[in-house]
Amino acid sequence: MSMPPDPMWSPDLPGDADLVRIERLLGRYRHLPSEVPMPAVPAAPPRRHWLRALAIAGGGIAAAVLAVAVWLPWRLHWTADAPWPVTGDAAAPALAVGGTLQTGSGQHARIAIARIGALEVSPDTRLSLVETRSGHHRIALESGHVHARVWAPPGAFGVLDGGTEVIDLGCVFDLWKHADGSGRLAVGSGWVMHSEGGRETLVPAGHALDFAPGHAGLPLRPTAAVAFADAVTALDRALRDGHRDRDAETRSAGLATPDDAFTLLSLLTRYPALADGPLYPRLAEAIGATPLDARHRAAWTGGSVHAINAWWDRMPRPPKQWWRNWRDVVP
Amino acid sequence: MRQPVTPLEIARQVRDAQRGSQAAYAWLYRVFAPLVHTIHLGRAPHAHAEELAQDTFAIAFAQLGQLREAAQFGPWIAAIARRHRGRRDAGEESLREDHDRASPAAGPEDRAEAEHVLRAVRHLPEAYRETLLLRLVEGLSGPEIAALTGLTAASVRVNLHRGMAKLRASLGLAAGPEETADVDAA
Repeated sequence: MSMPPDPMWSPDLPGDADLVRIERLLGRYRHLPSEVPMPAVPAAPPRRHWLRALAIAGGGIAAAVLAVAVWLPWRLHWTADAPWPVTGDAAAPALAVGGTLQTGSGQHARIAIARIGALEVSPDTRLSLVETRSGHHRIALESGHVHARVWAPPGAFGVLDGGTEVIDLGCVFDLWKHADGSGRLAVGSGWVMHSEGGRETLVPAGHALDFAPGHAGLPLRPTAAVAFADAVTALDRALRDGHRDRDAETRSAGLATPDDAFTLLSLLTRYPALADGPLYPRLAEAIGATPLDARHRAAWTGGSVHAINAWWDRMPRPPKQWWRNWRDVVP
Repeated sequence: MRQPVTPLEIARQVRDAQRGSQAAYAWLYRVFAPLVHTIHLGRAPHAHAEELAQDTFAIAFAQLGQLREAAQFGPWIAAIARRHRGRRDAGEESLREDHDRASPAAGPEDRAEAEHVLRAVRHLPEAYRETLLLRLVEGLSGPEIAALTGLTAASVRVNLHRGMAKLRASLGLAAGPEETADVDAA
């Protein structure tokens, strides 16, 4: 469709009499370059190197923030039931939901946990992929050993075994499982929660927990004194069987060092009645909660959650800001 | 019809000026002086508008290093012009000087009528006023106005037609055929 002649748009076209007259009247106000000299032109402005550097730095930061803002959601997103890539000695290049991966003697495999981490699978290990979707990835370890490195919000990755669940809270950990159902969980970074039959045990970095069908041990430092570990294990076993082993309790308190504070805290949390014995003042000393508060001790002995939480708050907590463990993303 | 300047050419000249090219400064002044002049003419007496236009270019050239979007020189200097009102307001009294400075050779009736028309234009909304002055005073075409102001061609066309229709109405003239549709739509 062609436009009609428009003298307002094209001054070369003839307009009506009024337009021509208005143009003529107003034309006298036209800017005449010859009558108005150009103003003085400033000297070439000095180059502002610092401004340029600042702009480059700001641009770099903005680009990095943008990259993280794009990369992080991409990293955490995973299509439901999409298989995990597998490399190494495994027979298949991917592990699908319901599928099983079995390594033989001397064989190693590496499984990508969606995009949030990786599993190093040791020889003679058998595991299967149970569930996988954004924010929720679960495997079942039947036997063998895996080394997990995960950088994701707490609970994103977990290992199932019947009623037992090992939940990653943003960390690096090793998990061994024997054919009889016993095993060991060792945490290298962050926190892991061992959950069995409603009993939850937090295991922090630098601690390990032995477990067996129907029972989880206490978090112990691998470098803790053997005598201390034996005493704590004996005390735990006796209490599980329904009696209080005073001798093991006294030895546990006597052999504990300040570095064993988390073991003592876990022990007293699992068995609050022990707070009326020698473990309570030993833990108080280890975490700097002296002088002793009789009311707090009595409340703890009675199983007060508030009293127990008061001392948990003195310990480093599970990482709500999981991204601070960013080093876990580095292979 | 003259060819309008292109954004690429504007950007190139701005960058050259930022590097200190006197020829580029002269080009920018020559091309954009009508725009700056009409913005001031819409609010100040003719002689004062020339002075304000010079001031505006002096300010703009001094700050040219801060302009990042080189192709946006037109909107940028237009904004400077709108902010720079000088020491005098464009009150009714000061605007009466127009007939004394503009074309002294013209007859008194013409000068009075020109003053009357210019005053009518000054009472139009800013968007119409500036676009209309570029067309009626400077004799620029629609594409040239769009190139200088950074407005879209459609916006320029609307401003021209609606502005002209309002001007005709304020002067008691019959609506032109090309403006009726726009006024009806407004």
